[in-house]
Amino acid sequence: MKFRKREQLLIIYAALIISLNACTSIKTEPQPSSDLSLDYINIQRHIDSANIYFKAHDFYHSLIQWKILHSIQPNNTQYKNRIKVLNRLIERRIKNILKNANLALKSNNTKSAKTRFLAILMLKPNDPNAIQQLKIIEANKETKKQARKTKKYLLKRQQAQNINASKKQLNSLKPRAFKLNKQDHEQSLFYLELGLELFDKKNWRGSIREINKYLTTNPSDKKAINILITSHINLSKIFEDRGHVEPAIQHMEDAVSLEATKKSLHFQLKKCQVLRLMN
Amino acid sequence: MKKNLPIKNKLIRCISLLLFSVIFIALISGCAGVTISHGSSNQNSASNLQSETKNTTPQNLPKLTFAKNDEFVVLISKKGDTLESLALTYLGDIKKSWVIADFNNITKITAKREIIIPLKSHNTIGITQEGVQAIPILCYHRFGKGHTKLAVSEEKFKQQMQYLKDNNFNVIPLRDLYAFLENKSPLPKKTVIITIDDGYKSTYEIAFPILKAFNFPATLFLYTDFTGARDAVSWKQAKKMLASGLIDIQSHSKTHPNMSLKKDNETNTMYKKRINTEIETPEKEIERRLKYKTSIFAYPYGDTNESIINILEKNNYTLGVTVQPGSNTAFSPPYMLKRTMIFGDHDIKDFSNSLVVLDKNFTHQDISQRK
Repeated sequence: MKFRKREQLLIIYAALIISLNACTSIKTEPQPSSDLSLDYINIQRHIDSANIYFKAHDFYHSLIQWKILHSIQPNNTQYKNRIKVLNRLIERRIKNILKNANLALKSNNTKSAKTRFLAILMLKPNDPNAIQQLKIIEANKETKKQARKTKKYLLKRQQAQNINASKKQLNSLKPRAFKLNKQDHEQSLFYLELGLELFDKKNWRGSIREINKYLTTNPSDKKAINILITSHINLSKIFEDRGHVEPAIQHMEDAVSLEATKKSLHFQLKKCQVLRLMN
Repeated sequence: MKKNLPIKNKLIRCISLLLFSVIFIALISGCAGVTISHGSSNQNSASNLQSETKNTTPQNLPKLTFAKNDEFVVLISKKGDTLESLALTYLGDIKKSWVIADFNNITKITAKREIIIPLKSHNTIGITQEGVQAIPILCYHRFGKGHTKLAVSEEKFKQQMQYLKDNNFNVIPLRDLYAFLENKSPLPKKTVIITIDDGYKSTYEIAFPILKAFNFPATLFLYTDFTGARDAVSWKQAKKMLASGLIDIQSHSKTHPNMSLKKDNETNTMYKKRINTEIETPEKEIERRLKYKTSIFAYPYGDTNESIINILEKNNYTLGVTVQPGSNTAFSPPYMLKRTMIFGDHDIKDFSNSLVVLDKNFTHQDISQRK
């Protein structure tokens, strides 16, 4: 009799487990949503979406779906609980990822750190710490890029200066060809164009500055040299008229250094020098 | 006692035990099926949540057509509802219609459709499983027939603007990027910015009428020593463009030097003084001529350094643009924004390739592996 009772209990217990198991295996697969034409808000669709997102580890979007459900049925405590639990889960995950991200940062592995901070943002898109860290990483990256570019320019300028120096030193020899890439060529043309514009506007000082920039990469352009000489002469005349002899002489000297064979330039320079003596 | 049991009872006992073990195994395997590997520390809570979720399919769901709280409005659209009308009613701004379009992944509203309107910005940086939102800034120089690569023909420019329109790109002024970079306001999914450097006359004669026809805003960067010259826009033309509300005028230095390079024999003080002049003079000139305060700086040749950025910050500039190719995310440094140069020899395929609106440097799979 005793055994019978025990077996009966066992059977009841088994039946209970079967029914419980049946309850837990309620279909959570996405159901085809009939959102083409709706008369009422499709609550089931949001529940399904929340579950699908959760299964795909996209906790943020799952949370959004529960929040939408909460806005539809504010009195449903189950949704509130879901939001609470999911928030807790997200925070715990963020804490774990952050630990690894900081370790990656310490070991200068910015690529790994970046991916981890992005992973945090996938869970919580407005996380201020992750955003700030990513901003720092990006700023450092861009600063390095800019520094590399400037260094490259300086190197090119140095090369151009070396060429000019060797040209002066070895007057009879032709300078080593300075090959410009397309971008530099565009830039040097831009300087020339600007120099000519300023020359047309009778802005001699600006014209001298821009043409000089152009000549650093195109030192043998005779047309540009002539424009530069004319700008120096004109500026020298302005200084001379205003009684500023020193800068007038300086500009004439610059003009003469560019075209030493022209007698008229020497004459003008002498005229300025005489003026200085008279003063 | 056991020996005295009848065979019938023994049989019942055996069957029950067998049944119990079968049920037990089935239960175990069922649980294993729903358990998701979420990493050791979170495994319990994640699986708890999952099984909890399974148990909560609500029965007798209410029949609602409208719901609202401080985060969302959920409604069934009626005949005559548009993205704009809903944006005006619930977001208070017709221009925010893209918020509804992007959230619901739609381009227009049809009747009897469930529409969700987010009242708060949940994702200002625009991060999704596919990547992070990126904003391309296009950089033009000259328009029309020209012998330089920098000149884009009128036909090509029109074609490019048509492409932006046909592919539903949202063209915004550059100044609107500031709030996005400050993580204060999100931007539409497909956002693009147009900028024009130097201020050649062709900007007024060719680009401006096309931009007006498409109603696309653009930012024009002037370097003030050039403005008013033979081949440049005049101040009168600049004023007219600014008054249209489509063209924003900003600074591109005074003389267009490479500001990151120090001259030979130039001391640090002399260099900083020169950079200061290059930043302050055009700012004053534009303010004097156009009665307009500049806040964005385009570095000549796209080159910058820490000293230049410090001076810009001191002068209350909010953004600085380079010519480093690429698009900008919400994490991009505001004083070193990337811009993609559009050249005259670019065809429409090259152009479309420069419109990168999603930074796919990481994927959701990458993240899943880093639990």
